[in-house]
Amino acid sequence: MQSNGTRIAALLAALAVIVVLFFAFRGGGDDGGSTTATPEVTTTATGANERLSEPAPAPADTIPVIEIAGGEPKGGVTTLEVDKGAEVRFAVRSNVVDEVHVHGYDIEQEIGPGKRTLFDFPADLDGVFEVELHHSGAQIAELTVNP
Amino acid sequence: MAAGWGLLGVVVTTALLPAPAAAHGLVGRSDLPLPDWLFAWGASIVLIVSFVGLTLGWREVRLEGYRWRALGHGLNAAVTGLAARLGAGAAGVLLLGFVVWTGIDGVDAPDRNFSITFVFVTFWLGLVVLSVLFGDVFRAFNPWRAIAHVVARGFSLAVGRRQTAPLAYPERLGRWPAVVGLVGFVFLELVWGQTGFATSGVTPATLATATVLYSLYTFVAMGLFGIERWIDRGETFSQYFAMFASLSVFEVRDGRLGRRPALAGATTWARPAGSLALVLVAIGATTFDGAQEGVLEGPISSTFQSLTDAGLAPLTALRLTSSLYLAAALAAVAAIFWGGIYGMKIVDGRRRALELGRKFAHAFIPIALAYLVAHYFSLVVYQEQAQFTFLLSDPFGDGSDWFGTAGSGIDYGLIGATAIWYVQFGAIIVGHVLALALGHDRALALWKDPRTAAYSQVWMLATMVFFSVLGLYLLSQANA
Repeated sequence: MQSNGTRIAALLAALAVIVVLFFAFRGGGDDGGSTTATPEVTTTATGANERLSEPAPAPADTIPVIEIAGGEPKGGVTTLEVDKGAEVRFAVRSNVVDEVHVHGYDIEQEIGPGKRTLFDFPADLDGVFEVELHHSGAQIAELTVNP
Repeated sequence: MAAGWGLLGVVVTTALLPAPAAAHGLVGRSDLPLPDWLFAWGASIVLIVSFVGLTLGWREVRLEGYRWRALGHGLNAAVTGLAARLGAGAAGVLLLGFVVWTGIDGVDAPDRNFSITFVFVTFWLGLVVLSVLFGDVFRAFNPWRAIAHVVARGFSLAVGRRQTAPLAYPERLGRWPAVVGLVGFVFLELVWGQTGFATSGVTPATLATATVLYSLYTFVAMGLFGIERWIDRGETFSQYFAMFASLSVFEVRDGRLGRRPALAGATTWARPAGSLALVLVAIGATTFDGAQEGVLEGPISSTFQSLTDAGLAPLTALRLTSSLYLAAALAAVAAIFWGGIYGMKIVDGRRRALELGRKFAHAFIPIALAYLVAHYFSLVVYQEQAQFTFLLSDPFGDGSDWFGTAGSGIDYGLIGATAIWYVQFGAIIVGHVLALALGHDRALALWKDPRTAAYSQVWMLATMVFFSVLGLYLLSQANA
């Protein structure tokens, strides 16, 4: 601590650490930056840490459909992920009348037996949002919009 | 397992919640996890700053034994004069009454009832910000203090002499009652109110009851030990906010407002017993809240699953699980801190660990602050819009429109996800630097020999680096 030599050595060591760390983590950071406008759909069937990833090439007509039975989503909470600016698209089918609420965006639509309710809106707000049923209160999807 | 979740959902939403709307969390937009590259930058900068601080830091004690200078007369009269004191006290009492009133009479939906947002956001988080900026403002607004003083004054006028407290506050008790109170508040907010993945919700009515009970307890304690004595040691909120106010440049001394160097007030803050526990609980509570949305989400759900499999009712299992993980988070934070302290004992074996721990407790206040800012920044930005629009005009949620703002809501687009990231990142870095400065100064004051001071600091630094990187890590895993 006393001599200038020690000080310079410590500073150099610190610089080395920052450089190494930066490059070590950069590799991991890059795949997050790949910009595809196609919505990626993952369905969480069980716990939060078990995600069954389906690498969806997603032509425009294959829209994820969330099935509701008795006020609960079949197969758990659906994970929807898009980049900001892209379109959020999903459909909901239900055997009971309820209302779907996309939080943050405050989009509400009626769902009910015998019809398929389509949701299609631009993802102009980034963040993580819950999609919920108003009457039963159950969460049916989690929408992630990346900046 | 999916059936179990479905069952849980049904039970939670039908049995626990009086109204469907109560199932809503307070906020419609959650933060995106901090991206890896930003986490890497944050961790690296924390390390760099620490090395630089250790090698290039000042060599003489700067913050300890600080000077306090009174501010000018006009300003002093305006801020600490009788009118200001009466006004602030009255405002505090009105707000306390209003919380209880809206809590009992307002709608059950927590997002449309004034009481929930006011207590958990405007009061609990907003006052932390105000305390850091302007000093111990809560003392002026403290409703229990105001009511107690009015009652005591009235009583002494009626009896014809001043009353003295029947009991002397045991100094050994220090801040421990406030620590217990803080754990209780955190339990109400994070365990009773929202258990990990399900918002079981503290209803406005529960909050009103808790407020009334806490008020009664406070009045009894003030009656036993004296009003100011209880405020200075045992009253939870006074102690919690005063901890953050110790970083501020403003300090009221003998009824006069004055200035001191930033951070300097913290150097004398940790003297009473229990101060260290208060800082660690503050850090641990935020750690738990951050972790339950990310790293602990998996473990929490599996513990919950095993408890329900063992035959516990879902709600009991939920709350028991959260209690266990809250306790674990508090224990982990304490363990990390004491690890650093025992390291310092290697450098100076003559001092007891407890003494060293207390000497460095105050250096962790900025880390507690950084955790709060990083974790709750977006919540405050969203909920304060609600507070000053529809919750102001329609506090009971009954459809009234007092000031014409009942129709406005929260603009979630006010800040972007990237802006939130940079605020979180900045909070952790700045908190780390401030913690470093306080620790460095204390080490210089404790060990006159700069060499011993430097060696001891390696341990303190390691502990701080751990906390700062942990903070960044939790953010990078949140809602991931």
